[in-house]
Amino acid sequence: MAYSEKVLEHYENPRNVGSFDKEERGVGTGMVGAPACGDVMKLQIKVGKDGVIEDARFKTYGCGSAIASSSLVTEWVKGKTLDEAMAIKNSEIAEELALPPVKIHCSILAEDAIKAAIADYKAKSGAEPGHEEKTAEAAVCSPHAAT
Amino acid sequence: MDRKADFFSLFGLPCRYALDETVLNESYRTLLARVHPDTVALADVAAKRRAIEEAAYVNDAYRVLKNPVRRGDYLLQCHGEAPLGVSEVLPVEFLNEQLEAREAADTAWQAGDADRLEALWVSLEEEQQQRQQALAALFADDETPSKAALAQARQHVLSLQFLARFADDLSEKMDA
Repeated sequence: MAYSEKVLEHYENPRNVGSFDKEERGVGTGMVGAPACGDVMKLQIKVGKDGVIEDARFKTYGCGSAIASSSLVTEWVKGKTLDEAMAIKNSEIAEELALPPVKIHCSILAEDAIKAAIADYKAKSGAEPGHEEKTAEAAVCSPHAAT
Repeated sequence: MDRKADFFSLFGLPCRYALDETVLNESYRTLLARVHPDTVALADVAAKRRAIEEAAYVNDAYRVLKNPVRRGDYLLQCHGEAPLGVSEVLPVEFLNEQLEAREAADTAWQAGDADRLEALWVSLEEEQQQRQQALAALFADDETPSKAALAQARQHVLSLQFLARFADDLSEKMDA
């Protein structure tokens, strides 16, 4: 199957390949897999104090379209807020890379990966306030509070 | 030929994950000999067309049963489950292991470390066998497994799909 020029370009010169330390503050990690072909994709974002994505990295074991989709997404998310990054649609990725219908699932994988990375970042950075809320709720509901 | 029958009964096999390949291969040859388009008189266009369709059906059924992933997917569907889809939830630990194993294979390949590649291959085969044994136990008779068992089976089939992909990569690297 012939790849589009944009896919080939990303495949030959992938952007932002690599890893951040997933324990580092501000880093969100998304791990996803495509059951249809057995591809694995890891996408990481580094979020600044202002809530803007400063940097991104990816590692993809899969076909050229999967590598191109993740490479493209790491470029797109840089400088975006989390909400803006959440709004990235697989159809935009597929359109930009001119993916054929049989490769649409690669763009879906990339969209899932960015969403998973954002969810991971929010879970990590939101862990503290979330914990306080729960404690407050527990205090109201607990039988001890009523006595 | 009964094309409404499930693939297992088509080959005279029980509807189970564990596969008797001898029976499968023998039935396959027998069925194909019976429906092969070349056995039909050239002038009989309708019969010829039917033979082509039936041969294609037999070939497809054979490929599904022969393949450990597709056979699992097929059994899930036989028991009312959805076919493997594009969006499936996989445990992050499993995906991490997969990514690490593929990284290790890349590193070993670049370093020309044949022993390391061999070791990766051995542990890959072990995991494939374990998961196939688990599937054989989950689909051991004609009963439909419980929902929980079907969910477990689905995870094994999905994992086997990833392992098969890794096996392709790895064998390419080992041959190179």
